[in-house]
Amino acid sequence: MKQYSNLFLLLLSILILSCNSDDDNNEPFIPDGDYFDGTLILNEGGFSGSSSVSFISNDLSEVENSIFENTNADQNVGLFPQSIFFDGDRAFIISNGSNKISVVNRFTFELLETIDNDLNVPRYGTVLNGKVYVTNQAAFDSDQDDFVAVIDLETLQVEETVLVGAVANHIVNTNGNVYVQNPSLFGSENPVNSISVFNPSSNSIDDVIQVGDDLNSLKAFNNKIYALDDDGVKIINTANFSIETRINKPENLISLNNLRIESGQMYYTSGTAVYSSSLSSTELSSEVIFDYESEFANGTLYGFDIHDGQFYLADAGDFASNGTVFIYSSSGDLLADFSVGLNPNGFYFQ
Amino acid sequence: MKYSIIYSALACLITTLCYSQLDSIQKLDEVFVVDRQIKRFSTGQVLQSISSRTLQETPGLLTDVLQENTPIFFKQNGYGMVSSPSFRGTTAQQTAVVWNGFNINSQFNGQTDFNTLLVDGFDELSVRPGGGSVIYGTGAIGGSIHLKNELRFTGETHATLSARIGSFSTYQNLLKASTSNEKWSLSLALSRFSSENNYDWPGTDRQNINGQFEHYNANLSLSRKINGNNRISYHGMYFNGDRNFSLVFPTDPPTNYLNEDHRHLLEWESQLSEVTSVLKLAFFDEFFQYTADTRTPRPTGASAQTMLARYSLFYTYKDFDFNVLSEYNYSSANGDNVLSESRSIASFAFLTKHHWKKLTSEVSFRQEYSDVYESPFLFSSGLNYEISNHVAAKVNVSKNFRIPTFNDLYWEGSGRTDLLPETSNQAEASLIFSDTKEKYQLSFTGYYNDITNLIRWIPNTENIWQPENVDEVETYGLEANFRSQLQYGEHKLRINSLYAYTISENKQTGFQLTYVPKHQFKNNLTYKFGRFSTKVQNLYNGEVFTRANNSEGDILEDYMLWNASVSYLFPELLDLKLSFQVRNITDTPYQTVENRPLPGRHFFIQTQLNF
Repeated sequence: MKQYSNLFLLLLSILILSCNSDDDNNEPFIPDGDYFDGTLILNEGGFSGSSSVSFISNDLSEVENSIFENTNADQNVGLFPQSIFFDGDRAFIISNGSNKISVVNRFTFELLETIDNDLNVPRYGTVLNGKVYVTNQAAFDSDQDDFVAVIDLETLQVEETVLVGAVANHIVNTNGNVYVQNPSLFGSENPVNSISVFNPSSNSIDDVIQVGDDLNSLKAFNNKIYALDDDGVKIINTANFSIETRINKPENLISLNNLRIESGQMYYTSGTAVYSSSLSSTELSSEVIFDYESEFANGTLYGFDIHDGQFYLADAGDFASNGTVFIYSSSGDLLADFSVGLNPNGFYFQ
Repeated sequence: MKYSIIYSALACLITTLCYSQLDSIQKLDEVFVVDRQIKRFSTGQVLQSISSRTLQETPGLLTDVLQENTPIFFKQNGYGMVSSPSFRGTTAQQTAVVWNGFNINSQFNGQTDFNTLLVDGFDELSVRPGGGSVIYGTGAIGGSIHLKNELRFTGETHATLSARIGSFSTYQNLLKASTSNEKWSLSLALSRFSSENNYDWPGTDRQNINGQFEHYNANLSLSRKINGNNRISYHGMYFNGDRNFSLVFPTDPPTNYLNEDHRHLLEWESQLSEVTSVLKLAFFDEFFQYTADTRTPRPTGASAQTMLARYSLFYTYKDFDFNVLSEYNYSSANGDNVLSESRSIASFAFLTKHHWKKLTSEVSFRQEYSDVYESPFLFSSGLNYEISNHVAAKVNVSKNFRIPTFNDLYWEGSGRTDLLPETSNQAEASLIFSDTKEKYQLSFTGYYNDITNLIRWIPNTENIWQPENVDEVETYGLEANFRSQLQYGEHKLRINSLYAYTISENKQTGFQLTYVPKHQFKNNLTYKFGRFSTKVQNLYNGEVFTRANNSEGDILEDYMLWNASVSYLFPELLDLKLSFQVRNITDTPYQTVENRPLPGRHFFIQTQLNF
């Protein structure tokens, strides 16, 4: 597990990219750059910036912090970078506090372009048929001004903004449509959680699927949408936009987060514990795979992912210290840990 | 802000046209200070006073005055932006700002933004390092800052008119006037401070964006002697601030912050032989409004009202000074994110001081009762001892606290009413060396402060941020002060120097708190020759950590700043005082908060008139 040949990694990365349902670009390419055989970590920083991107090599031998700043002198990804999405060898880093998307070469991290017009608290993006769809939250205290920005992949200009009519957060695509997670407005007295179906040919919301409280994850997998809410996992049919399967959770599982799907398994977290259930199960399992103990008093799991059978956990600690990334094996053994930037919130696998 | 140029030009014109007859000779008898405790009950602590002249010569924000003259470190999000103090390594809520004896820290966040107070209109500013909760209540842990108005019954009339113009379209005006007869005394100050604040960030090709501000302040004091034993006084202050907040990156949404505070205090003092009885009624109103994006304004805000009644009895018996104090405080708040709630606090304090030969001793207690949380029993005990004519020693131990704020208690969805106050046990000792003519004074103070139950907002198990009593901090350090006043014929030299060594450690991790410099060093040198005077100032702040885990790559580097000014008095030109000031002479790039550069070299011209 420790040493991979570059060729193996190359093959692996092609395989992963072609398996990734968020990404419809199946063309193989030869990466050129320092950051192709590893994992990107996005550190969202705080109110005075200090945001950054870290890179951990796949052999888990080292971490390089601030790769964006190291590559691009006097440039910064902006306040509160929220997420990264990819298009071929380009990575799009969305900064929700600075209303911009930094477009970099995915493997060299060289800044190619910045999209900073017509965005208002951008959150997540997805690529479909030459367009980028980016959710924008706009005012935090309103769920009526959130919109999807439609960006042309060639010109990188925002072509159109489409109001969602609800809070717009995660966004994925599958089977020709784009799906927008609509969590309830924070502090709302009548919380409504739903998924909006965005039709990319008409740039309009075609359907709204009501789900349970606290909708917090949205995944596209195998032409279906998997949504995690307070009831458990709901699987949505993308032909008729209806909930076709409900996998409820047992009572003793609370505050589930971070739904991930890999190798026929669903993975999710609660607090600092990680769980899994088979995709074909009828009820979510409450058996803990492992529970990571934060080294920090009041440490918090701020980012989570699974990749190639390994678990990646980001602990933001006290939100004022450098965060820590823990990598665990599928059986829950700690493989490595690294000190990264301030408030790490997500992993992106090259 | 468009009127500011005309306004300032006019003020300049007025100052140059007016005339005065005499150098103002201030009679020091019969000065009435509202805060009667600070001079009387600070045994074991070293007070520092900053004169109204110093207040008028520096930019009028409280941050500027204090960071040049005291060991308090300020975190500023760019010049004029949110400014939080760290006094003796403590947190921003652990410095109390006291207006005429009353604590005026915000009910919402428990701290004072030191860039929302214009101080050039006040008569004196005192800094009292160390614990003061027995007298001043919540937040007096690191120390307290006292803004004071004075009233005189000397029959004299004074007025000061001042105008400053400087870099970045900065305009500052002050009108201060006082008049009195045997029965009445009136004092008034109006000040205004505005700036485009669009300074270049030294060492970069960027500029400070969206940092404009415009502040107004008014102070009014009025007193009437009813008879030989009774006096009724009113003190009021009003502040109105309109600030944009500087952007970190040019594409950040432009924000705006308005705040309007007014405070009123009515007191009735009665003297009956050995007993002085003082009844005070106060009303404070604080209001703020924040706009997260001024392009699509959706302002949110809140206001809080505080009503206070305080009754004090001062009694002197032989070598004893007694003070019994009882207070009732009712506060209520309402706003966009804070539940409409109220809080009542009753407090009782007993202060006593005894003089015996060269030893002065003090023992004081306070107990508060709140309808929300449990309050600890507070005490302070101090000794002053004159070892010789040249050496004095001071010792003080105290227990102090910082109560949970309205945000902590009542923030919608997050506030908790089961919080405990932060508490501090502290001790300090000072040695003061001075010569008999008081030309020199050298003091050393060592302190130790153990603070528990620090309130910090952290995510709970459901990822909702909530306040919790989590941290324990230990601070200790050393302060050295040197003061000297020399005169050789027409030549006058004044030197003020201070050095502060500050350790502030999180007891659980052993790390130094963020934004607490271990070393600070400040010097002020004033030289006067006849009508000419010059002042050179430098200040050094050691490096600070920006991460709680003290990671080596995440520090703000140390820096040394130099400021200088020259003034000339023109008695033949209607006693005009003309000053020219250069700040940050070496154009040093520096920050007190990560990614928030402060101005490089900049200039001011000031005209001032006393008549």
